[in-house]
Amino acid sequence: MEVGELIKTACQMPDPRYAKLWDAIVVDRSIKDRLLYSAALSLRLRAVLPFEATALHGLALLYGPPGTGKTTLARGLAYQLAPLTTRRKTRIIEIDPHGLMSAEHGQSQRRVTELLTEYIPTMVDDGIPTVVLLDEVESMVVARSQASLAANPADVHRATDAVLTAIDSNASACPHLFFVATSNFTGAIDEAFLSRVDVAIQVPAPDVAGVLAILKATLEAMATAFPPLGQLARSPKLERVARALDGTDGRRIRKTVSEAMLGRLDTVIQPGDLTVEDLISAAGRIQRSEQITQAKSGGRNGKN
Amino acid sequence: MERTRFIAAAPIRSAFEAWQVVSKLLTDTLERSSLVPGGSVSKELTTLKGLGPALIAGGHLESKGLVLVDKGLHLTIRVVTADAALEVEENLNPVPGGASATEGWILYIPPAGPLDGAVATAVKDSPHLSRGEPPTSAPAEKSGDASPSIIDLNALRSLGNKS
Repeated sequence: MEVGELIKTACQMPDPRYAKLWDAIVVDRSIKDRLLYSAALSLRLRAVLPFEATALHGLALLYGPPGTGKTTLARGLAYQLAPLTTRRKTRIIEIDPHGLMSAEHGQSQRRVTELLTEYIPTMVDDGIPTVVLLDEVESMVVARSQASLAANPADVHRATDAVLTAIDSNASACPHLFFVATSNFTGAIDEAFLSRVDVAIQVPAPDVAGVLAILKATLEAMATAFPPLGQLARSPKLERVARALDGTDGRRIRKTVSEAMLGRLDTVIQPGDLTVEDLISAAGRIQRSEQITQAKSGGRNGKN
Repeated sequence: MERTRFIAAAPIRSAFEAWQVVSKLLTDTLERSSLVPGGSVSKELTTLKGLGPALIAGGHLESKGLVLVDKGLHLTIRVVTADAALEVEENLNPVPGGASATEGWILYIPPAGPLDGAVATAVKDSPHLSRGEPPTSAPAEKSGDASPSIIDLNALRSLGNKS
């Protein structure tokens, strides 16, 4: 696999496909502000000051349970950042972290180095501020203190070294690069990587008000095809559903609506006939399946 | 940032072909910049058309290499032969930093023993070729030549008005 093939996405903002991502994620306003301000400040300071003065690596970490919108926020960041730049343009580059690791000895390190210190810097040589998304970063920067050489080949350890070296070199050589890493398993991330993070932002599962907002947004979006769902979105009884889904992640909350629809043949045929009772039943099913999943994983995600 | 690129010569390719690869790498890197006119780099390198392959064939670019220097660019190009040529991992993509190259780029040619006289004659009238010792790093920004601001402060202030 060529290094260039490890780039999943490379597109310039503003791109209309990214316009609604930021608002689609229902989280506390302070989380979005913190992410946007950290990117703006990093780009502002690193453009005019040397690394020795700022100690900024241009690296943010979004962490929290799966399905809370970390990746979507990172994608949306590039769009939100564009109007704040002097050129009114940004770029997003997404890396396939799993493709970086190779079974061939020495290749993981070579790929990481080539991708992060040669390929991406060349792509962004035009000076356009660029957000680089390192999704599920724990697969790239394996915690060396916890990884045994028996289970993890030396290549994995060297790849972690290579990421750290690349982050260091890009910090000063490419002040218009801003890395956003996401993880739901921070215990598996290398400590030296975590120490380079400028800002670590927790993206938690939504509270009841957040659940309600996500449910309403989902129903309203579906109401464009099935108008009665718009009325359901405005029902005060929806709060009961939100309370039943408290503690559930955003992705699962959105899926609750379709889960409710598949509970009856009538609503499969006519989704607009969905009721609050359908949603409450679906919430119960989802909560039960979540409990089973958590019991099986032994609370693995609790390491966040 | 200092970078090094390795190019394989014999037995992978002849000295002439290796020089063509070197020329293309230099051209592709520098001519990405809007300040370096298209065709100007290859025109400058025609001075070394016969000499470049001779430098490679004589092994003069093996240890020290050519050094391209400009604002934000410090690239060493080493052309290796024999076993090293068989093992080298080439990266022939344009070098990062090239897009902001200036008209002041300089290619430093290392000492070449019996070819020194020919090199001196070739670089004599060129503003871009030199026999001198290259700087150890890319030149620093001149004072007062501040980096352009990336963030528009007025746009940033407007965020506060929205909240």
